[in-house]
Amino acid sequence: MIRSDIREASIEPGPELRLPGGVAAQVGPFAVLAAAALWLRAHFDDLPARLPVHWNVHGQADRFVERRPLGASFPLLLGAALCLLTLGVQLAIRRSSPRGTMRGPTLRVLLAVEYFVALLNCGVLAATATNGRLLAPVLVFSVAAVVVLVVVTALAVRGVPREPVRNPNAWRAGVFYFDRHDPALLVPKRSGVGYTFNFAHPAAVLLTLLILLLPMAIALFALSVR
Amino acid sequence: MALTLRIDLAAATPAWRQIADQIRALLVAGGLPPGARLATVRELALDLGVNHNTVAEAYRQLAAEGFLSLERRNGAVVLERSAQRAPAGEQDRFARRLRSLVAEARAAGVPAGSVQSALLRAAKEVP
Repeated sequence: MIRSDIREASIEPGPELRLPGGVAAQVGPFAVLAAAALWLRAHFDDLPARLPVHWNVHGQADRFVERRPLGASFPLLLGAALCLLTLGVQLAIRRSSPRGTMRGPTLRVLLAVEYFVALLNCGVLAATATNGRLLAPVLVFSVAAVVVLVVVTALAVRGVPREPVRNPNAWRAGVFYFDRHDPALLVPKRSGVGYTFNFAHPAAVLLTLLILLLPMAIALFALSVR
Repeated sequence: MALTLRIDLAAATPAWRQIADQIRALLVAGGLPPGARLATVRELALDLGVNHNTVAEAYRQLAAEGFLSLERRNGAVVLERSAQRAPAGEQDRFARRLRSLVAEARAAGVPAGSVQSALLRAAKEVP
């Protein structure tokens, strides 16, 4: 049997892929977080001496931290870190993924995720700062925002033709793309919407470690401020 | 005219040569007018999933043949290139390459009639 590994590409230059909404839209999530940080600074002394950080299923606070700048601003710091990570993924798709139909929709969905993350973390701050009074509205907002995100994703990819599976021989266990000769950091997923790492790319290993270590760092930090 | 490259990384011919051969065929057939910009090395390497050097080598080859101008700012730009008079021995070299290509196709099981019609078609398509 003659083995073949066919690749196709247009020889024409593609239009420059810009981040959706330009600088104004990209700055938005960070501006929201910055505004919340300014509010926190102005009202820091008005906050409860013990800030609730966890609530049980009945909506009663069962874990608290003392009012300190780092502990109080933790939701905003977490939001900023996640927004930076999402922005980094957008930039990586723009710079180091093959041209294809899924790039634009994926960038738009990621921008929506950034806004969701920023607003959700401001909501967590609001619930904490009000001693849990705003917990219910924040929960309602979270559920509604997830629904909106799903709808945004569905609308973004509606009618977008699927890209052919890239290099079928390079998929490990059906989901992990690994090709040392492929310069792409991110490639379209084999199935579903979005991109996945080319795990043979050195930067992919670093970013995966970062994504895995971030929750651990958050957990350790949360324990340290209790 | 389709401006799409199609290469086979499992083929015996190196990828850079396949890229160069196909772009050259497009250029000779007039598929890319003088002044036209080609995809950047980065774009093409990412799309094909091959090393940047593979595409860069193909572009350098075409630049050396006078088809392309490689500019840092504008990337690869198609040059006006007057038809050249074949140098001495070029026809023999071409015939040898063609014979080996035909032998390769026949060895792979391509029928003689198909080889013949493909050769005629290529000669008509490329002015």
